[in-house]
Amino acid sequence: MAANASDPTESSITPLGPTPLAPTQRVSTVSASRPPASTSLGIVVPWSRLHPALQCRSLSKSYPGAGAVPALGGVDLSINDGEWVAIMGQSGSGKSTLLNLVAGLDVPDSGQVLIAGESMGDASATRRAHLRRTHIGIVLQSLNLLADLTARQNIELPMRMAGVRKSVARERANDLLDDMGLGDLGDRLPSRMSGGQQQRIAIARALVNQPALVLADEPTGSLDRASATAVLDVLRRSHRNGQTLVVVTHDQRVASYADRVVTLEDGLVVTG
Amino acid sequence: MRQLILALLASGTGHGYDLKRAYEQNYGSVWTPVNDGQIYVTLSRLEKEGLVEHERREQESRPDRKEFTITESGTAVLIAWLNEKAAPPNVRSETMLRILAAAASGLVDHRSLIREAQHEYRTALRRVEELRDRADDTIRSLLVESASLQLDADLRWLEMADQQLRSFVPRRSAEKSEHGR
Repeated sequence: MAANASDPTESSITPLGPTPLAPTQRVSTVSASRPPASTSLGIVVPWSRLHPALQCRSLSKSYPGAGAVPALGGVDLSINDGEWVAIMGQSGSGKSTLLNLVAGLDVPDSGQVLIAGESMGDASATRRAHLRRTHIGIVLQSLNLLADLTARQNIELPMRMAGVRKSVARERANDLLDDMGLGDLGDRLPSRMSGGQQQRIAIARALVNQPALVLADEPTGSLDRASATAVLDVLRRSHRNGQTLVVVTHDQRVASYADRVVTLEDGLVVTG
Repeated sequence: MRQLILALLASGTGHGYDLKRAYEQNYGSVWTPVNDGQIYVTLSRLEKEGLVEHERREQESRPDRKEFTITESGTAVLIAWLNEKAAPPNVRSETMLRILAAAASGLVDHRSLIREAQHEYRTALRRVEELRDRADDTIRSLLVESASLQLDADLRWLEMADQQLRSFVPRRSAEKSEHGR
């Protein structure tokens, strides 16, 4: 599909002037109300560039019994397509709550999360699940790799769920394993890998469908320096590929590569 | 810089441009910014002192270039430097002192100083980390690691200071407000 193909379901807003596109860039302006286009390689293309990749509007969340201070007290945040944002702050400042709300793993008390202009609160549960599968890649602190699957099968799974052919998924998983320097570990079960290796597999799995938005909670936390460097390299590569990265981190090296550092304090954005 | 140039020459001959490139690759612009002029000036000083010498190499269609070599006395000076007792570790940082003085005196908003410093140090860290991509041997990797770890420590300190000085009230103005009651 041509990048500028007109579509009756398209938003009526049009960008000012043509956007120059590199020939290799896979960009489409599929409206947010439709599933993203998927190429034969299983690459999910970014959605509309008319909307920020992610918007939070007055996002609030309190947990019962946590006292008077809300976990999030009205967060406004807008993150552009292709931007790398680091979320920093003391533990208890609301970083992980924010990430969970954005990932749709938790529901805000009030406020809105918009992914590429589409409100998560208004979407049906099925639609939210679909978005999470196709549009968002999530790396959580608990790795939740499937224990009975090998490293390679863990990476293949999201592709298979997105309908990618088995042979294609296998090839791409092998490429990713090689990229991460884990080419020899494809047949290993997570329990027989180090924490750093498991973390890299979890990241490979989150990135394999090339989601437009990557959310990561402390992806280098608890890793030794060499493994953290490898993870950092993977994040840098996905940033170069134009993916939007939102990374909760304490790691100054991760923050140094971010385009923007957002600091939270007591559930509020204080910088960024 | 004299010693670093001698050290580069100790592992092979080179002309000014090669040396500048090797200097940047090894020590990077992050440690000590260097321009062409500085390299040539240092080389000619070293030559006057007899620590290096040069040979003119003819080049087709280009001006002759000077190939520098370290002399025996240059090597001796370098060895003496390598064996020197290093200065005690320097933990004083002007940035740190300014932030603490700002907080203690209440004259300048210390949190905005912290933010500025964080931005600067992160930019420096990123530049160092990018050198890692080109660090193709153990010596270079270790140089990168040294700078990276130092900046990382500074950034952690800045974060700590930011948190602990959040509601810090300078003693003097705290006393004043007490008297005012």
